Amino acid sequence: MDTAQLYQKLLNDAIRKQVIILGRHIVLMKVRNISGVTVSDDGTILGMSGKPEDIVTRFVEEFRELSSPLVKKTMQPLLSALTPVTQPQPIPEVKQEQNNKQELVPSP
Amino acid sequence: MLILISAIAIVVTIIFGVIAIVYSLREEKAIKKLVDNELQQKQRLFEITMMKEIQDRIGYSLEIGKVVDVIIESLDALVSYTTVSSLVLQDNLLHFTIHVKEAVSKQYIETIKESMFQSYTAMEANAMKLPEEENIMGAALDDLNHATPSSFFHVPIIVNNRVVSILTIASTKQNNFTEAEMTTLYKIAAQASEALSRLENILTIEEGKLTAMISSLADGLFMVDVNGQLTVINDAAKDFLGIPKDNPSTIDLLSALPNSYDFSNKIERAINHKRIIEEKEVTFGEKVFQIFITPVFDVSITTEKKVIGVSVLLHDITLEKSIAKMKEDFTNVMVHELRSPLTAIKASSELVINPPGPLTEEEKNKILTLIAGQARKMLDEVALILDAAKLEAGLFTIQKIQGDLKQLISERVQIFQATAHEKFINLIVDVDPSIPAFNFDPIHIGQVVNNLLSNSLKFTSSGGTIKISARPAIGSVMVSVSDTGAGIPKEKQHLLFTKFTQLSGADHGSVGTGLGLYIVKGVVEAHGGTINLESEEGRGTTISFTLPIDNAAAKAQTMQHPALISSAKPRLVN
Repeated sequence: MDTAQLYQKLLNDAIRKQVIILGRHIVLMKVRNISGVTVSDDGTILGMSGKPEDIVTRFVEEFRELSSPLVKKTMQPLLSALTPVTQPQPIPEVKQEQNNKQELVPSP
Repeated sequence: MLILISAIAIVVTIIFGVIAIVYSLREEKAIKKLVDNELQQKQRLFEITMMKEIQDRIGYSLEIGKVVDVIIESLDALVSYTTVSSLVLQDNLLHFTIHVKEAVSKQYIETIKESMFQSYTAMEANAMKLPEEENIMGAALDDLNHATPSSFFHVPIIVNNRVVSILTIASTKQNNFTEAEMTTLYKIAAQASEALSRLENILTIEEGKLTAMISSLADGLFMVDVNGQLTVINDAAKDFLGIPKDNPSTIDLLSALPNSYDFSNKIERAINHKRIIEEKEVTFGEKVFQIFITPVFDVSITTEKKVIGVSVLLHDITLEKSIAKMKEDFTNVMVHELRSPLTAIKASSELVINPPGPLTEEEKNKILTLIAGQARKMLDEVALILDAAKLEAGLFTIQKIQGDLKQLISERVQIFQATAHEKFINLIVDVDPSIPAFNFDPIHIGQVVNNLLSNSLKFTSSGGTIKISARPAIGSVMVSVSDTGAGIPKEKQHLLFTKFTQLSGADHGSVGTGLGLYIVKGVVEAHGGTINLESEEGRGTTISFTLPIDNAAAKAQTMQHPALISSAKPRLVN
């Protein structure tokens, strides 16, 4: 399974879950707002054009507009799958120098 | 020519037509934009009004039901619908309520309910099967109406990542709700979720502060709600009632309370009559408590006093009770102690005044000696009471003069040798001859030595040993009296130097005022010394005290014992 298929599967799972949680009408409306995505009336993605990561980001954003607590509560698999750019940066280590000054050293 | 004119007319007409169409389209676009703006403004106004209403209605309460009610009540202003329903999780119960605006069948309601439960379960994967409560409101049901919920949407309310409610707006009409309408409701729900989460966090912090405050109370405190459920209990209450568990239940609490104390009935009375119930003296095991059962009112309701539970305060009065008892015992003892010599004096003097027959000089002397002895005994007792009173008032003074402690100890031991011999008790004296003469109050220190030896004799059985020793230390002298007597139980040791304390010992027949050791401590401390007790039940007791010595005496002592400077360390007592 290539990356695009993997993202499509993740999105299909997320849509199915949101249909149960919110109802079919609102979910289809929100998914159809995302350019590059074709979706059937039962909520299955028929086609995706463009970078899958961007589509997933736009999908999350569409639902975040509805409710941030909802996204946080129900979209963990999608949030984890998002590009590393959105991941938190590692915290720099603090190196103790001989003269007792502290210096921030970025992680390798 | 005519053809040319016609062609020009057609072109002009077409140009004007195109211009008219362009303007018409522009106008239509502008109108549409205006309508859209108006709609957006309307929805924004609706959002703001709803949020304000929610804030006003919930105040500082986390009642999700109130938030749901506000949204439902205002819904007509935003959308047209057939039913609006809510699923609220409260008190471990799922409350399903449906407001029916247009008559629907029971089947329609079941479909909505099932869909809401599926939505809830999809969000709360670990949701347990909870008991449900169903409430149908509004238009009458019509089972002949076979309409189904053709369009609906669920709006969850999530507080701190927990789904606390779901609102479902449904209609029998296809595609009844626009995206804008639905989005408005989701936004309101999301804002309410965030407001409730913030409020819950604040309340959790405040609750933490309150719990810390309650935990630090020396008095026992617990709270019970109107259903009899234990909501708060502090460590002191757990200690008093002997509840070891971390999260005790009402059953733990009730089984810890004595059966004779009808606790449930008293709680009921406090709640029903909305007044404080005070119990002046209740005994739980070895402890005595003053109990206050106070109704707790819901402060969010200002119109009437609604009781939401009771707080129970356990104030430990065991010490006060035991002091009161000690005072009572002391009075009885004093009456006995003073009456006995007075009776003897009265009888003896009457015998001298009105003798039954002529008395010989020897008989008269014997009676007068007895009277003098009893009078001295009374004076000693009265002196003790006076000393105790002076100590308590901070007026106790000592008269220091230079004296020889070794000699004083030797004289006092002489007094007790005869009694020790009679009781077959070995009385050992171990006094360092190098103790220099120094300033102390010989009368009161004599009393101290007397009291310690007398106590040791009282509590040591035949065949035992009593040892009095005195040793020089840096800047002081340490005197200790140890015995192989009954010892003092650990739990009573702290009472030893308090007033009126009488400990039972081997010599059960002995009585005293209980002021002896209180005065001993006062005398030693008045000298600037300290007193210390070491005792083990069944093995014996050692009481040591130090007396500071003045500079000149200390110098003489150091010259005799130079090692005291370099090696010996003062013993820390008390």
